[in-house]
Amino acid sequence: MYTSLARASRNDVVSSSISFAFQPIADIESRTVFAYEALVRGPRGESAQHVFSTVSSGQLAEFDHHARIAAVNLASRLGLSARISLNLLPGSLHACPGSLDELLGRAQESGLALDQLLIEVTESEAIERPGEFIDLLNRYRVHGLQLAIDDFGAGYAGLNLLADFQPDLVKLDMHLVRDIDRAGPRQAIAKGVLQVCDDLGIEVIAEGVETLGEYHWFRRVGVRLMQGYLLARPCFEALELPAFPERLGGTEVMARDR
Amino acid sequence: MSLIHCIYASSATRSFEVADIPSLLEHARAKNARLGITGMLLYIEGSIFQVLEGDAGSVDSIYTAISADRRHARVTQIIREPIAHRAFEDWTMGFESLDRGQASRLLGVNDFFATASCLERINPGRAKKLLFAFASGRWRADQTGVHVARARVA
Ligand SMILES: Cc1cc2nc3c(=O)[nH]c(=O)nc-3n(C[C@H](O)[C@H](O)[C@H](O)COP(=O)(O)O)c2cc1C
Repeated sequence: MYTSLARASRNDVVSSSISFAFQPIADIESRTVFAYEALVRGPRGESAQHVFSTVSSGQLAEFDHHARIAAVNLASRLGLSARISLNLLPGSLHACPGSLDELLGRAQESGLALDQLLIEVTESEAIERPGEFIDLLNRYRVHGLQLAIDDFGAGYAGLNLLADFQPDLVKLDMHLVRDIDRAGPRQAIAKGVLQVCDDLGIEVIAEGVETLGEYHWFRRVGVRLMQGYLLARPCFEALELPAFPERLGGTEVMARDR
Repeated sequence: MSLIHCIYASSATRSFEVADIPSLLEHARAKNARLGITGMLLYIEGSIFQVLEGDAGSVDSIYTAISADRRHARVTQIIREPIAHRAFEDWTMGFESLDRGQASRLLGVNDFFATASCLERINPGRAKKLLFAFASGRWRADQTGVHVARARVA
């Protein structure tokens, strides 16, 4: 009883000191929202950097854990029907082993289905702890939890990671996305990653899409999931719909540019 | 009990033809039913693609038998992983044989899998994506198929 009281009050402290912005990951083919990524903010919309600067490194894993639960609660209050994508800080599962169990329980209490949950782990985190990481995540996949590798392609080791573990999704590193329509080497790398992902049944998300040029390039090679300022900025405490480019003549344009 | 799926591709050996599959399946389905294995088998001009799902121990032992079976060669495991739900719950082993033309034409159809009976209500997810990849030429012996990505936007 004491533990649950302690937990409840700690939860309250965390949830009163943080909030979230949500940025949609759009499915440009069906023109729906595939997921909302929850991004940490202060209670009045302060930046994630600001929020994390108030947390001591010893408390980071626990903070991260409570943040995921708070994000799920908020999203559910906002009427989430798409998936929700939650970040996992490096090392936090290691420091807070029961975290995902509790998350699954809380998500169900908030009325979410477990296959609405997507966990994002950075490529570097996955590479640093391969065995442990794979075992742990596979355990939760049985419940329908989906897994995305974030910043994929930031290092070439990312592709090697797929030899032992095949996530449900990868998010292409933003640096690879930037100006891809005009940069041959980036196109070559992205095509390589896409081919590997097609062969392994892994869905690819282009992250940080900011221009129509980038949008068109990814659309042409068959990437249907995109996230970025072109479609929608993160929105504080709200689940906004993305602005899908409109067909105009033979091409697609943003309504706001017409 | 832990649910997994195991998905592989292979090439039929010369003497093993599509006409031989029904008798193979008769035996396989009975054994699958006994072991709680479900899945589907797709045959495209000598290239084989199979999804096996069930309890980890049963799937692994059937897969070991299958991969040693001389009726096909170049048995390549594409994926083996835990899953939350079966994609072919009602099928002790669905079967579909297509020629290359049918496979690539069907990819243009909005819902390719609605046209094949055992693929009718398959959940989106890895098995479906890999079926799609196989139908578009990936993992096939000849490797002449179109790029999935391109097929998808077409
Ligand atoms: C392409 C292919 C697919 C097969 N699929 C199955 C299957 O789904 N289930 C099965 O029990 N055997 C399957 N087999 C047959 C196995 O290789 C093996 O012959 C059989 O499991 C042995 O059965 P037994 O233990 O009754 O002798 C397949 C064989 C081939 C060539």
